[in-house]
Amino acid sequence: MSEKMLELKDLHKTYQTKRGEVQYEALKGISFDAYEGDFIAIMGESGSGKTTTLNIIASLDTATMGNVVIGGTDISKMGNKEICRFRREKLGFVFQDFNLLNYFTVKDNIAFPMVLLNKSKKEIDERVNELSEKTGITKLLNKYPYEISGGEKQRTAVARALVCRPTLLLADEPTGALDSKNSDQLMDLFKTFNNLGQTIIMVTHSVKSASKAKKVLFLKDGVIGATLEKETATDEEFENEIANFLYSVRK
Amino acid sequence: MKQSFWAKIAFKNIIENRNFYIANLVVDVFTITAFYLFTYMTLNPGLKAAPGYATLILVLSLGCVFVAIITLFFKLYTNRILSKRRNREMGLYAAWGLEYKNIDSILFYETVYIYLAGSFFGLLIGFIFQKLVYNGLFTLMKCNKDYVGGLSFTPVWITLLVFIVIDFIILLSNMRKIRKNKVITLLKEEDDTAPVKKLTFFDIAKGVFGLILIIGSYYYINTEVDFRESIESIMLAIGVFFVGSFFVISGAIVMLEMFLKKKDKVYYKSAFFSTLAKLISRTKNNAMSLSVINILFTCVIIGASTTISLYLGTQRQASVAFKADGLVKCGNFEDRALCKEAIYDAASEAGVNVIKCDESVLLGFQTLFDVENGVYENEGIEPKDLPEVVEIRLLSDFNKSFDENYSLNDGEILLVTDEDLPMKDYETIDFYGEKLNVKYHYDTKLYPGVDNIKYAYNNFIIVKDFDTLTSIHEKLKETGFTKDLSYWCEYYVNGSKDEKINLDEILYEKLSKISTVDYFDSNATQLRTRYARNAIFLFLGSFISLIFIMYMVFIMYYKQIEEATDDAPNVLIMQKIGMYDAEIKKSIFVENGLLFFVPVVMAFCHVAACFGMMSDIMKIFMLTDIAFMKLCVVLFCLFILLVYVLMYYGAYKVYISIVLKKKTN
Repeated sequence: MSEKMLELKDLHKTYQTKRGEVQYEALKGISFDAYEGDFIAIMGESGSGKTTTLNIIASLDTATMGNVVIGGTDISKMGNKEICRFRREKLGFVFQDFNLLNYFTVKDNIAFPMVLLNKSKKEIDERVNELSEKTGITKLLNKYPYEISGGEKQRTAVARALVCRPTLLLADEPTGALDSKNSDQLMDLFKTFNNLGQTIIMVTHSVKSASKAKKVLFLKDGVIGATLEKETATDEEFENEIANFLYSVRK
Repeated sequence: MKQSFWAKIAFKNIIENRNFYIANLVVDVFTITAFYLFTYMTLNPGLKAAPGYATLILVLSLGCVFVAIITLFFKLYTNRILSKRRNREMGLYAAWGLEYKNIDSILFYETVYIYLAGSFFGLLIGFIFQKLVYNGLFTLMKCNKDYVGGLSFTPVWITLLVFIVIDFIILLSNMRKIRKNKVITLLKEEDDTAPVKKLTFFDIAKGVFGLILIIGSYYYINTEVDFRESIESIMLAIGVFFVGSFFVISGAIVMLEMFLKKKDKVYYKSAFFSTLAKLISRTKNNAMSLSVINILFTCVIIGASTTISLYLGTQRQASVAFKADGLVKCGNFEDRALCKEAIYDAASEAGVNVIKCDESVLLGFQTLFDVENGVYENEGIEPKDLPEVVEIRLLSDFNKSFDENYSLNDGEILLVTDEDLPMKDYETIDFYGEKLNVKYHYDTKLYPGVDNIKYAYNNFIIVKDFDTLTSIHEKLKETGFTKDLSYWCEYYVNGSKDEKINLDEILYEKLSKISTVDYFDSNATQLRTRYARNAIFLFLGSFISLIFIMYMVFIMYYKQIEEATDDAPNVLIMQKIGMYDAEIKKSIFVENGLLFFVPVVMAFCHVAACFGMMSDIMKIFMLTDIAFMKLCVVLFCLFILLVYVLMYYGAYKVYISIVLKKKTN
């Protein structure tokens, strides 16, 4: 049995006005577990709570109630400094709009989290070279983000997210700003890293992207409405299954 | 659409953009106050009581013109920063279908509001402080004069008029810019995802060129022997090193940062990693602002420290300018005795003792000297670049004045020629047809000239005795020469400064009764005149420096808001990656620090390079104590550095509040 990497217990998130009046309940009790090597896609309509869930897992936001346990550590009880350290050591994050720093080269963007951990230049170079090879951006290392395409930017972002060997790789609509060809390439990359043992949790609108995952959680109005497991199905079969499920739900 | 509608929109715009407009208004108010106070003092009838008031009024008037010009220049520059931030807003108006004339109306009303508010508060503060400034200035001038003036409308009108012209020029430039640009350009101009500018060969060339310009102008300023003869070239050299500073900031500093980036041991430290990468693009993007800060900072140090040292060194200047306590000149031998008597009587009435009262006689007039043949004549000789003055003096007077012990026989003279003129070793000279045997001849600086400025070449012909002098005078008279001998009394007294001023006033009264007295000057008079003049310089220097500092703060503040707004998304990314707030703050502190202290360090270099020139200028004003001046400059540098550190810290706080506030949004 694989090790439990993530445990979400009865997660609630309520947005309030300054006076304390309840304004909007984004999450109404989300609970699920992720194990080492899992690849989970979270789907749902806009406002269903997918990004809120991911932001709470990533410790970018806090839950109103409930717990988030990552690798045995309850991050809900951490202070700001501990959260930052935890985030840079244990989590990798891929964003829809890449979030690359324009004044860094591709290489420096990837290396940035390692520099924050005071790793040596040698370690940084080895790891950056290894990841740039795996993500196919070796020739782009000395370019600036504004000089490369969207797909290349996202591969750079993936390399940066993985540079510190995170426990969890979180991705928020990673293909949202990409064309279909680049989306496919990116999802293949995710799959490759997942096959190498990387645990991934991804929020997506795309059925095709979700079909690369091993499990899909469907969120509706702040709760998990359904779960689909890929098991032995191929990507195409799983894509059809997800599409059929969404069709039946809408009907 | 009614004009009131555009007026309302303009008002709302100002409220919406208050972060920018408040800073703008503060600088406007201060500049208007300063200009009003300058004008008020220039036109104040009370100033006529100050010694040398004509010069003071001239200096103050020039100060007013200078303030108006720098205000126009800086307002145009700061308006560029402000309008750039608002391009998108203007572009949106155009995109929504507003005609140019509608946008013009909005801009017009915005200008009117800012002008009215600035003028109201500026003049109000001016009214409140005018008496204080008047009394302060007269205290600095060490001149007792009760407050004269009250509320006067002329300076108010002048101030309102000058600033309406300045604001109108700025309004026209804004209107022109909107018309010149396409809507899409306006909409894009505030794009915060603009790419980082890469270092190009042109930047490297600029940096190297800038360094050459700076080093070249430093060399020129410090090797030019007499700056008075080449003041235009030196001013040009100063202009060149400011241009060089811009090139250095935009080229060489970026090269240095690139060099550090290549040093793995420096670059791959968490404290410098993001800092250095960001600095490269920020330095390039901000080169112009940093150069302006560099110019302002240099001007503040030079302007303020020289006027401060000039004022604090007034006593020193008066002592250098006028060694004796007083000097009286009269037109005949008999009146010289009366003058001497008046000096002793006045001293007795003033309660001071006369230590020494030397008399001398001389015949001085303008001439032409033929250096080649040793001939003095009035015509037929090539004139030199300055007038030549010859003085025939008695040997006894000369020996006493110059503490020498020369002796002469009949027909012999001692020739003292101006050190700045090439001379030969003459055995005889021809003085208007009379041959005089030169027993001794040497070059010296006879007179430093008033305020050290050379007005003429001075030669002395020292004759044996009074009979020889009168004989030369008689012979000259036969040729139609009309100038008389002049008789001088030079006195030294002991007593306090106040007692000497009192003696001055009493003696002035007494001397005015002697008809042939046509010149009287004293150390006390020099002191009073110099205090008045230096106080005006200090007044102008302080206010203009304050205006410069205000603009410096303004540019820093605007730049911080502008840059922080652009940098906020980057900071958000850093936080998402896991950078602590403390690390972000440290990184920004180092980054902004390096960025904002580059112009300061360069300004200190400029001041150090200009020090020789500054001390030469001070020598014109008889401030020859260079150690004292150095002390004033160093102390002022420390003071202004402290002020700048505080300004920087304030700007850094603004930056942090913006980038970390965005996180919660």
